[in-house]
Amino acid sequence: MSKRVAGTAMSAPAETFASLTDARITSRLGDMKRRVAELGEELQGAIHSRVGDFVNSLLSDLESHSCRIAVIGQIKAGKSTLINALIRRPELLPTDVNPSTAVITKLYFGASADQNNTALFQFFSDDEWERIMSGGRAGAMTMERHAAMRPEQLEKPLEELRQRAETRLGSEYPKLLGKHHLFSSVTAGLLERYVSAGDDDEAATPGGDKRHFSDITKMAEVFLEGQPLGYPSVIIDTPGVNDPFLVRDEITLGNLGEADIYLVVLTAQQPLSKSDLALLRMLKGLQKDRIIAVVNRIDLVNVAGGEAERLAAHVRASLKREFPHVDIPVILASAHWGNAALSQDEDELDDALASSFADYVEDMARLGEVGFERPRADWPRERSAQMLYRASGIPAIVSSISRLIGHSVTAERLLPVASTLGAVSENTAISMRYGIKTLQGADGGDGWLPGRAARSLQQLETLLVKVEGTLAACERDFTLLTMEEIGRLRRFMIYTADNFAEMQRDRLMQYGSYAAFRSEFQDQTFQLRSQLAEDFYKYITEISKQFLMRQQEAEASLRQTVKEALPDLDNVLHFGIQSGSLPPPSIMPLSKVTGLDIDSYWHARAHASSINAAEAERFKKLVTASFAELIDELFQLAEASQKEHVSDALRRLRFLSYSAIYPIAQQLQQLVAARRSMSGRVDGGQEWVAPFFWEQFLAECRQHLVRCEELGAESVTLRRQCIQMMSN
Amino acid sequence: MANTQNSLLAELRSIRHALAETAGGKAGGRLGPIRRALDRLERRLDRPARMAVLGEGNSGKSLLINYLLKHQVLPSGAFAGEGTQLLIRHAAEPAVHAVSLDGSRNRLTSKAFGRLVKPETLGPEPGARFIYDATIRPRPGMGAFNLVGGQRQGPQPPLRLIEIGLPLAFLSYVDIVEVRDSPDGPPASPSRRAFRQVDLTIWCTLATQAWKETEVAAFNRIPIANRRMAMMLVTYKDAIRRGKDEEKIIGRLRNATNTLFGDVVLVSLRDALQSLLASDAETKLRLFSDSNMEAAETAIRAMIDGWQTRRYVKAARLLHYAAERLKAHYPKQAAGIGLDYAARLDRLAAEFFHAPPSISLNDRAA
Repeated sequence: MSKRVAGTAMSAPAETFASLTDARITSRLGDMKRRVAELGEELQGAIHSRVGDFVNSLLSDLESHSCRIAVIGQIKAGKSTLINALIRRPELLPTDVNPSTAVITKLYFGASADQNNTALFQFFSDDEWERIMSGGRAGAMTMERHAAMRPEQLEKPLEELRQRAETRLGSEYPKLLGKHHLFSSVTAGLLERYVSAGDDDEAATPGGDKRHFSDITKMAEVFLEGQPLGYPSVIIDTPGVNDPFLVRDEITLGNLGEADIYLVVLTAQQPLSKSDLALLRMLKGLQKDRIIAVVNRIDLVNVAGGEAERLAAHVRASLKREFPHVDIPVILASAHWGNAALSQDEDELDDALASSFADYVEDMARLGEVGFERPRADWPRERSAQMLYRASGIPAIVSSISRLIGHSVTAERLLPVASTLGAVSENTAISMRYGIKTLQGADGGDGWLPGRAARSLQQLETLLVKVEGTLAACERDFTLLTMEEIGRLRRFMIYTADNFAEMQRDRLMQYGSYAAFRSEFQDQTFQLRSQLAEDFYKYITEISKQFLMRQQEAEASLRQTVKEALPDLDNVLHFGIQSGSLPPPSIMPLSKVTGLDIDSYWHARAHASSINAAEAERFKKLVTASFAELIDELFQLAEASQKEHVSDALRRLRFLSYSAIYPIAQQLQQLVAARRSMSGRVDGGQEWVAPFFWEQFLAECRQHLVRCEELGAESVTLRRQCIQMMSN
Repeated sequence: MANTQNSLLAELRSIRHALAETAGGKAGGRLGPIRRALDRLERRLDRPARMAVLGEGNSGKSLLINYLLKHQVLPSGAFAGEGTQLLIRHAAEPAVHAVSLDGSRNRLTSKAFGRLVKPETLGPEPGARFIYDATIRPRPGMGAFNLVGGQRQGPQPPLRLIEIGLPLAFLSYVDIVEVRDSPDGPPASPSRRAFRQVDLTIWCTLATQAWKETEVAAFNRIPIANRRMAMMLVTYKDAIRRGKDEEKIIGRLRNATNTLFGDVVLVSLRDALQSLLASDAETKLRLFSDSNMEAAETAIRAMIDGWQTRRYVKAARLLHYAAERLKAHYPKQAAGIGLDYAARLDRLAAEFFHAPPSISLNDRAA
């Protein structure tokens, strides 16, 4: 970490570089989002207040939606450095030659203005810290099964971690657990103290201002100005996987959650190593178009003579072989060049400009890549720096991300919201028309109104009760479907894992020793994990398909209910188009470390002379238990996400039904109320309504109807545009 | 050292032969075990150290071998040759053989070899050049061989390893085994077979990525007997931009690997190879000192020497034991001769014990 003043990280000629990045798609997306929000706002004036609340909640969901981009990869792949270049703040996230990022760091862009430039650091709770100190799940598991053994490999770093926390924070550090620190300004130095692992030998200053909290920090949330991706987004920096410090691995995978886009950072020196592939296999079942592979550090390989092109081709070919059905974009990048281009440091820029950069750029230009050109001697520095930024691959990454965001946000957010808003206005219009038709028949005179209106209101109330009944049935149905199916899937996965454990027990018997069996076993578990991930995704997709189908059935039965109660409606209820699929739950638990991944487990057994049936049975039990625990965690996430889907669906069905019922009721109520206030009683008890008022009332209703129809048409336009954007 | 070793071995052989002749059929029963022990010892001493160069893909294994041999023996690059095991050993003339699982050997042409170490799936690669290619002119500073003869590569039985024989002095001290990862399997796990007879291990790791969990696991999976004498070579020193960072990296690795490695050395193989190719002395020297290869070579030499010393000390103990047995069991009527042999064996034991084996890594091929 350079000791330069942190402030420079914030100032920027960065804007000149922003123009290189192609965020057109995301900015169109922003426009679209604004238009949908406007439609919603206007709709507010034309619909019933109960439905208005629903529209409000849809809009605020949409407003607060930001795209989650998780940057993952092995340790030392250059993730933090890449993010710095991506967000055009070359020194914001701490970087170092040794594994540096110790804490999941979420960078929020485009959050509300009053949050900007604040940072929130959350410490582990007592329980979590306790859990880490007992060796995390892996340690607990192994110890439980083999009480005699303390996995030294886990214990030593843990003890070091504890001691370091104590040296850095004083013996009182447990008091900090469960708390958080909030700052109203963000500097690189601040992040360094909370996020970076730091040097072991740094001077201990417990109690001082410069205390280093990273050891006990669980998560960092930093809110920043600007939108480097042109759309509100959360960029998540993670400690690398494949860290010998297993606890760090566990923290990463446990806290990642789901993301809309995964930026998998590879390193050009070892492109697509086995653990990269392992990571990618875990993501394999994801809906396509969520993964971008970035081959970082091209500045460190010899890229001249077409080597860069071959490197990219190699990565593409391997990915194609591994994932034949997914089209993963592969981008060559150098975060170092990116940061050098952004840096204020002239020497750094000169160094980078004098490196293999020029050859690379020339190569790219030869290949016909747009915008690449070998810098000439007479170029101003600025222009060379821009070319360096282009060569860094950052603009290509931004374009790629915005393409993916453009597609997924449109499909999963904008289109459903626009279409739901459309349905709300259509339904309101239907109901207005019905009301107008009913009222038109009367001239406002005779004894018609009170009785008729009361009857109608009565009818509507009965209808509401029926709708509620149908919705309750739907809720039961949905919950049953999802929970039953999820339960079945879970049983299937446990069954698979049990079978696997039995097979491995037999294999162990055949091999006759742990030492000989180990490598095959690890090979097999590796395959089991990706198999489970694939099964899980396949089945979850199937469940969500069925769920969407059930929703359509529910829509039909709601239509029927309404139609029966109000046969005079001139159209059926609208429910809008929904997204064709639901976002899948995270499968990160599947890649977590188990006791069987720990070396010392195998070491302790390497010399076991013979494997008898009892020993093999013990092994089987450990395998079963290890996987059962992974599966448990997986399903906790899956159930939570399904519950959310169910409640979202019910909310939608409920309020769209309301949107056709409440406006009629409101009209009738208004009329009755208005009549009561406006009418007078003339001699002889005859009721009388002022004719001008009657006309005015109908006119207002018609106006209202026209407004709703306009908004409906507007929503159709928006929907069409959304679909157009998706097909681009 | 080769001379010392040869003379010691010659003496051992002559004692064994003489013993066999003297004893003849008469006392063969009693002398048999001693003769067989000497025979085994001779065979054990008469082989070079076997050094495994291991590490994850593209960690500089091939560059190291090329540098040590001062010849461009192997192709290298970001994705060179995955999934093959190579054995590089001394031979009178350069030849490459494919050794299959059933033990059969097929001599390969340079093209066939090229296909094996650079699978075609990776596409054509104009940069791939091997010393075996007759079309390559040797570059100054680096030797080249012209591989002639060999068979066309037809359908082959499953390949166990590729054996490269080269007439290089260095290889008479050390065989080199290189295990290249296959990218499709689980994290690096070279077969146990590959470690048979491996005495020394050099673990190569990328400075910017060094000692990941997969490496720890792969290293721990090597049978302990084969990694007792090991060193870590941290490559790509040139990728580190600040001197202070070099210390930090080495510090972390020393700390993290604890006693697994006898030595942890940071080098730039690129600079080292450039230094070999440089034409003017000043550049040569600068690159060599930048590369830190001197420290690495010293460490490698120390490792080989350490192994030789252990081997010699063991041999001395065994010879001494044989002498004692001889004194005790030689038939009474020929006790004089028996004592004579015992004395020769003891003398040899002392020589083994005191002969400080030392090799030079710098004797370049003529």
